[in-house]
Amino acid sequence: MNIPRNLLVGEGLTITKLNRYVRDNTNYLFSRPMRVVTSRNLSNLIVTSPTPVPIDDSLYALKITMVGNEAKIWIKGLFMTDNATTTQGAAFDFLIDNFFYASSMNSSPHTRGLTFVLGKTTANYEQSFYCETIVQNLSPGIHTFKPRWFRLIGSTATLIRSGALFQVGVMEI
Amino acid sequence: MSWTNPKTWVLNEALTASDLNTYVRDNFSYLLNRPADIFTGSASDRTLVTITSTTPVAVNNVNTLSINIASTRVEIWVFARVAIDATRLGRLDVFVDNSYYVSSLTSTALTNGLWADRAISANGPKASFKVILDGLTPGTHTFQLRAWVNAGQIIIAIANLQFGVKEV
Repeated sequence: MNIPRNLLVGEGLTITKLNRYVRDNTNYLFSRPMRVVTSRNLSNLIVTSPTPVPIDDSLYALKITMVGNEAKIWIKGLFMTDNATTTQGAAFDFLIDNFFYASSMNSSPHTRGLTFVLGKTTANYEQSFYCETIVQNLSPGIHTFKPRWFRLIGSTATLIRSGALFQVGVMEI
Repeated sequence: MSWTNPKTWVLNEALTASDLNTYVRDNFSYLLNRPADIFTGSASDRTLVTITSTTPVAVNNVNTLSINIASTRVEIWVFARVAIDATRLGRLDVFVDNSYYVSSLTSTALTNGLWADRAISANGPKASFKVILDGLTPGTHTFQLRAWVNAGQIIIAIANLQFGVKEV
């Protein structure tokens, strides 16, 4: 993507300009930077940590090169807790550029992350969750987005990947 | 407007009105309104679709979506209000081109499909999700919402349902 410029009176319209500002920019808008990782039918993951830990950075670390300043990030999965109480669950967040969390925009996430999935009143009852948010004020350039999760109030939380689809993604908007 | 892959202008090539209309007017119009098909249940439609099948079946009263895409990826979403029998597991998935499920990319859906919920008591959880499906071929594709349960029933309120697909 090339930042569109003002053409001046008397300025020649060259093939270089046409290819740069019409061809290249149109292609860019057609295929905006996006990185999506989708897992299908992998083994379940369990979190016991009360502080943010990677879900699996070898699989789910996302990286895109942006021209603009805003990105949409999302996480979709299936979840359960091993305790029968709605006060327990797990929080999900994204660590951006190994520096700040999407939930707080600083180095510590919000208490309940970007999204908090409560357990059900019966243990090991499955529930799908989906969270999407827009991160603003990013600088143009390369950014990384790493999904993090942590359990709250003593529960063991399970991300169900067996027999399920898990997806994380980022897209410049 | 249809999409035409942007051309590379070459030395001494005339800039024609036809090219400008194709590569600027039409392509930007396409990007402004990318292909989408959305089913939104009418607020006055009191239909409750009950499904007792233990294998995925089409949700009656919900249109099969169809779009003609130029790229290879789409965003699919479902916003719905459903009710599932107590202790039972309800599931949703999307069947593409009468051929494969989004959850599995095969003709057999994953056990939990794209969305699943095990009800504590007969209740009305919200089934709200989006998912990106990549690797499609440019051209026309169909998307059918399907549901099933492990036992009992899942009830889907048409008035509260939106099922959509859009090229991204």
